[in-house]
Amino acid sequence: MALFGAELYKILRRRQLLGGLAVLFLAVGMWFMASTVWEEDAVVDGVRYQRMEAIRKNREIGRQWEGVLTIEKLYAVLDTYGMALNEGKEVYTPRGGNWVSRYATEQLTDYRQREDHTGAVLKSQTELDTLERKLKRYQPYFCYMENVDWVYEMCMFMNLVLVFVIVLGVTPVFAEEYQCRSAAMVRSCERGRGKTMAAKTAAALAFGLGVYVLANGMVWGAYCLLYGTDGLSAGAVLSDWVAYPVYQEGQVWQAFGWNFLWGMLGIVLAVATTLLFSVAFRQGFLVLGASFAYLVGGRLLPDILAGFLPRHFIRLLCWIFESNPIYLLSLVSQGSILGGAKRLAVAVLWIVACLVLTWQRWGSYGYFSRGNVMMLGSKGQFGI
Amino acid sequence: MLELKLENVTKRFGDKIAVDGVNFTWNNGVYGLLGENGAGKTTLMRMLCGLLRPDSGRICFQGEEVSRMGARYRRILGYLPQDFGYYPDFTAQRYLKYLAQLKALPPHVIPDKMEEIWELTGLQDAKNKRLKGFSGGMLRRLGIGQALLNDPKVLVLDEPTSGLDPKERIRFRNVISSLGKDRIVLLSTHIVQDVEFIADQIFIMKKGRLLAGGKPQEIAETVRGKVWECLVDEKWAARLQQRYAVDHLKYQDGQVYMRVLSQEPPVADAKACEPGLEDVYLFYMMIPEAKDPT
Repeated sequence: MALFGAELYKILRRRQLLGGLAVLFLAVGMWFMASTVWEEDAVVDGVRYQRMEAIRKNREIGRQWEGVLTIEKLYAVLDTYGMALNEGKEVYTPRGGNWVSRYATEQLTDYRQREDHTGAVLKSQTELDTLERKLKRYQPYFCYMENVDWVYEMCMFMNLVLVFVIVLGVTPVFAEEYQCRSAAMVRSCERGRGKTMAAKTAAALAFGLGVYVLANGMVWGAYCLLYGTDGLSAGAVLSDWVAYPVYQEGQVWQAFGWNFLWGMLGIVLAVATTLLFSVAFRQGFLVLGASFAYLVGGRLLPDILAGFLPRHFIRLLCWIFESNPIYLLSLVSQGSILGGAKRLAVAVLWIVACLVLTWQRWGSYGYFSRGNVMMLGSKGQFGI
Repeated sequence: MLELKLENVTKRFGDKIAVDGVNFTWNNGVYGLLGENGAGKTTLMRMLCGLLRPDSGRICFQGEEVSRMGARYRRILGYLPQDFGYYPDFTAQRYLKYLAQLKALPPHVIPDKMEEIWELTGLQDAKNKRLKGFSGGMLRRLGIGQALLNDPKVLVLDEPTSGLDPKERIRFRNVISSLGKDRIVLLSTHIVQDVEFIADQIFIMKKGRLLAGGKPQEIAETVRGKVWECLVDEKWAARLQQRYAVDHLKYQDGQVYMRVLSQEPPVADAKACEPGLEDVYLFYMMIPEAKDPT
């Protein structure tokens, strides 16, 4: 336990890292407030409400229309409130209507495609039939779910930045021992191998998962505090971000909950891979380069190669790329070829392989500086 | 009685043989390992600490291979590497505490043990300073201190006096010489004086091999009749320097006093003199034979 605490301290003592995280959290917080609460408005019976008042009013109206969503209900909303159109001519004037009327307008008309929201016409019959079939199939629960999608999108972006920050934090876990030339001394101590490796791994995971849980917890916690938890009970299929059919059956909190858990697995993958690079490459910039290449390349490569390779090759590549951390952080909005069990198995195997190789390089007897022959005799260099 | 045994230990890095078939048994006492840079001292020490695996041969402690002992061996090991590493932003206190935790010292023992080390190393006043503010000598003392934290039975010190001023080196020698009674202390250096007065036995290492080993007086005898002193003019001095290993050279009254190592007298009127450890070291480092300057 003491060793775990010492290793965690070694990660967290970097002021630049903590400063960066603080700046990120502050930026996300300000972005959240600026793009949600401060922009909230509702027009009810000709009266305009803003910010928290608007949220309260929209929530009240949302409760009046709670229940299984059908296309008839959407038409009924339009009949009651009319289309939620801008009253002014400029693009950035407040939106019209309340949240329920805006939702119905978006679903039934081309409201979203119009930049200024000053006019809208009903979608084509084909599109409306598709919507009706979807609602009949899933029978989603409708309730006040304002900004649920926006908060999810914000978290997606935040998590993308977060995973790179976590990699930055984990990079020196082993590399620092070589750069500071303390590796020899540490590894010659009684607990310097297996127990140190376990402590370092545990500390890195605690850091990575802790930051991830804290960041997402803060954002969703703020959302629930300001908007209530109603939206999380809505049918997941009503969210634009839940594209993966497996998760469209349940509720928003279930789909986003699974996304959060898969994201945690992604963080564990990122940490395990970075630890391996840290002990293998030993220099900060090499570790960072390799980690970023793994994160970005692993995510982009299938998309790039999809146009060139036969389908069965892509399926083969998916065994690797579907367990990429960036992919896992927004799984519900991406879909999958492999499926959950295979994806989990690949991820777990990858994590185990990384940890075994890390152990081999740090923890096993006699493995110290293989490949460092070029450093022989270099004065002041870490070498043999 | 402790026993650390090397049986035909060899280590290669590519084509280079860093340690070549070393055989020896060390018991309680202080052992000095002399050799120039690249002789294989550090490689040997790293193998003794389990940081490198021998390509052939075995290293055994109390009859058991250290590779099998694992953490049990490291429990009784203290190691000061040649390149002593530290975390610049750590205070000495935090650093030593971290190493105490790595060495599995019980938590209730750590504060008292650390106080002992502060006293031994003379770093009481600097314990709350950040390590980046430490001088080279202070860092070395800290390094020696951490090697003694777990009261090791086998103490491996790789060039421990590097960077120390004469006063600190004397202090260090006094500390080490008191430790050899009930443990095996192996220290490597290329400064002869560091081991001359404290080592029970001295070994000379060159190109991966132990060339000579034994009590200081015994190995000094191996070069008896090979150490010469003479007084020559500057021209001869220059020639002798080119052809022989010169231990000592001093200009006095227009002539040059030289202490030369050679199988035969370098000049006709050279006198044989009492060999010292430095002569032994130089002799083994500077083979082959000198040639006749005339």
